[in-house]
Amino acid sequence: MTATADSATLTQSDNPTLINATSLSKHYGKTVALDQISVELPHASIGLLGPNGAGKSTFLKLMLGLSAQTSGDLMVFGRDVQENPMEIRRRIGYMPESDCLAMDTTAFDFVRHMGEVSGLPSNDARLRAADMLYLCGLDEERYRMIREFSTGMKQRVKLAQALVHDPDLVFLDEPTNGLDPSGHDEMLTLIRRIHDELGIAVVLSSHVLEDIERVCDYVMMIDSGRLVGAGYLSDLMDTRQEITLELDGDVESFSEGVRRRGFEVSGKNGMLAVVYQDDAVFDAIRDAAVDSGVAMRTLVTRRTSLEEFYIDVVEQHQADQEPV
Amino acid sequence: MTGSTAEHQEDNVQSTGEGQVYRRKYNRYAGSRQGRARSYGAVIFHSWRRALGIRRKWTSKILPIFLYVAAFVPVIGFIAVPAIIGVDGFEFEPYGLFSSLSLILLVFAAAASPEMLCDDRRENVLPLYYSRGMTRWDYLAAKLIALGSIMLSVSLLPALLLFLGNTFLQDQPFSYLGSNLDQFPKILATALLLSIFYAAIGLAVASMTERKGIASAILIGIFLAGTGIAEGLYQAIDSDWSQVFVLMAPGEIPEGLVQLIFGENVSGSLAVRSGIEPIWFLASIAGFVVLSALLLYRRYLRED
Repeated sequence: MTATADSATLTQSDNPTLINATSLSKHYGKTVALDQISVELPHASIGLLGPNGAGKSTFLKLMLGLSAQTSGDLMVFGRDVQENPMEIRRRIGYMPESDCLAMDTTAFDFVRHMGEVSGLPSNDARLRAADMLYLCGLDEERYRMIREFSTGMKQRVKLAQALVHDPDLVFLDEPTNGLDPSGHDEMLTLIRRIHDELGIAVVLSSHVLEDIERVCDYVMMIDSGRLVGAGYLSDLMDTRQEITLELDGDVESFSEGVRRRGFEVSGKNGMLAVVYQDDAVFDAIRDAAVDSGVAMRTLVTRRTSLEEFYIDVVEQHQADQEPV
Repeated sequence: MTGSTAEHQEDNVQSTGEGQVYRRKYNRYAGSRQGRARSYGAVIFHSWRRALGIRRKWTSKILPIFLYVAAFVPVIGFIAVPAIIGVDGFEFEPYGLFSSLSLILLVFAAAASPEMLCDDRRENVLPLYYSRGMTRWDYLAAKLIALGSIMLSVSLLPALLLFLGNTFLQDQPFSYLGSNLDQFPKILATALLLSIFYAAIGLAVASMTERKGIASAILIGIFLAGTGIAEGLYQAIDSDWSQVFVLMAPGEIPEGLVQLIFGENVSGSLAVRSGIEPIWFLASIAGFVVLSALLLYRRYLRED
C-alpha cells in the first residue's frame, strides 16, 4: 500500500501503531526541514528513506525529543513526545550517524556507563554490557580502548550502547556508513536479528536503498522534508511487478491487444514489459497472443526494485510540486 | 564462558554431569530501572573518574595526585611539626590556609573542568545522554555537582583537617573545640562558596571550546590577566568608583571572601587595601556565577 503526500494507513492489523505523526513540521529559521508530515508507523522494522538532507535525521531527533517540532503532533508508544519525553526516551535506543564514542575508554566501560545512565543498577549494567557486546560481535575486544577500533568495530559499539538498556524501539541513523563490504553485510544481518529475534522495533534511517530493502518490512520515504510514500515493502513491491516478454511476429498487434484489455505495455523490437496489476494480466497476454498470432519465446515476472520504485515516487512528487 | 544475564535463564543451561554448558542468547531485561537519580549518579561517577584519572593511563593521574598532595601536605606539616617538636598551643588559623588553597583550586578547576565537558562535546557523546532519561539540565547539573564536589574535597577537607589538628594540639582539646566551634560553619561556608565559584567559572570556560588545553589556558588566563588588568585599572584611575575593578578581579575574590567570613585580613592583598566593604565580594561571586550560568545556558540549554 502506498500513502502518498499526506497520509499512510496500515495493512497489517496485528501490528499496533508505534509512531503517529500528524501534520508534523519543523523549521530552522526559513529552512523547512519537515513539512506537514502525517504518517502512522507500525511496530516493525521500518526504513526511513530519503536522500541526504531530506529530513530523516530531523525526524529522528523529533521522535527522540532532542528537538521540538514547529507545529503538528508526534506520538511514540501512544504518548506525546513533547509531553512525555523522559518516559519515551527510557524505552528508546539511539545509534547516531556521527561518531559518538568516548575514545579514551574501553568498549565495555562505555557501554556499561550508558546502561547506568539509562537507569540500570551497576551490576545489571555490567552484565548487560557484556551481553550486548557479545551480541554485536565484540566479545574478545570489549576491554580494548575504543580509539584502537576500526570503523566497523566502532559501529558495533554504537549499536551495543543503543541496546544495553533493552529498549522497545531502536533508532539507527545510517548504521552502515563507512563500513567495508564484509562489515556492511554483518551489520545488516545484526539489524535484521534485532527485530526478528529480539522483538525490538527498528527505525533504520538510510539513503542506501538496498539496505532498507534487505532489512526492513515497512518503508517511509521523505524528499525535501515531505512524505512521498509509506507502506509495507511487500505491498509496495507487489504493486510494482512487471512481466517481461520476448516475442516473434506482429508485436504491434499484440501490444494493442494487451492495451485494449486494460494493461500498460512498453518496449519495442520484440521485447515488451507489461505492468502487473493482478493475475488477470496473464489471461490478457494469452488472449492477445492468440489474436495476434505471435510466438512467445520468454515470459518472466520481475519485481521492481525499491530503487526504481523510489525514483518513480520522488519524480512523481517533484512533478506535482512544480507550478503549472 | 563469563557470566551474563542470559546465563541465568534455566532454559539456557545444559547440565552434563561434571559441569554446565551455557547457551548465551539475548533476553529481555527484567531487572529494576532506577530512573533519573541513577542517571545523575552515573554521570557524576564517570566525571570523577575522568577528572581524577581513574581507569585511565598513568599520565592522567599525575596532576590530580600532585594537587591533592599540594593541598594536604602543608596541613599535615602544620600539625605534625609542632606535635613532633612539642610546641604547646601552636595554632595555624584555617583562614590563612584558604589563601594558598585558592591557587590549588584554580589549577584543579583548570585541569578538571575541561575533562568533564570538552571530551563529551568533541566526541559528540551528548546526543547519547540526551536521548536517554536525562535532560540537558540534568547533564549540566550532574557535571556541576561532580566538579563542585571535587573542588570541595580540595577546599574543605584540608581546612577541616587543620581545624582538627589545631584542636588536638591543645592541652585541653575539648575546651578549645568548645570555644572555637564557630570556626566550623565559617570553614564550611568559605569552602562551599569557593568551590561553587571555581566550578561555575571552570565549567563555563570549558563549555566554550572542545580543546582541553585551550580551556585550561583560558581559565588560568582569565584569573591571571583579568586580575592584573583590574588591579592596573584600579591603580591608574584615581576615583572612588574605581574600587569596582577590584570586584571584577577574580584572583581577589578568595581574599575578599575570607575577609568577609572570618573578619581577618589574610595579607596585604588589594582586596584588603582597597577598603571595599567585604560584603561586596559576595555580590561579586554571585555575579561571576550568574555570568557563568548564562554562558552555560547559551551553550547547553538553548535548544537548536
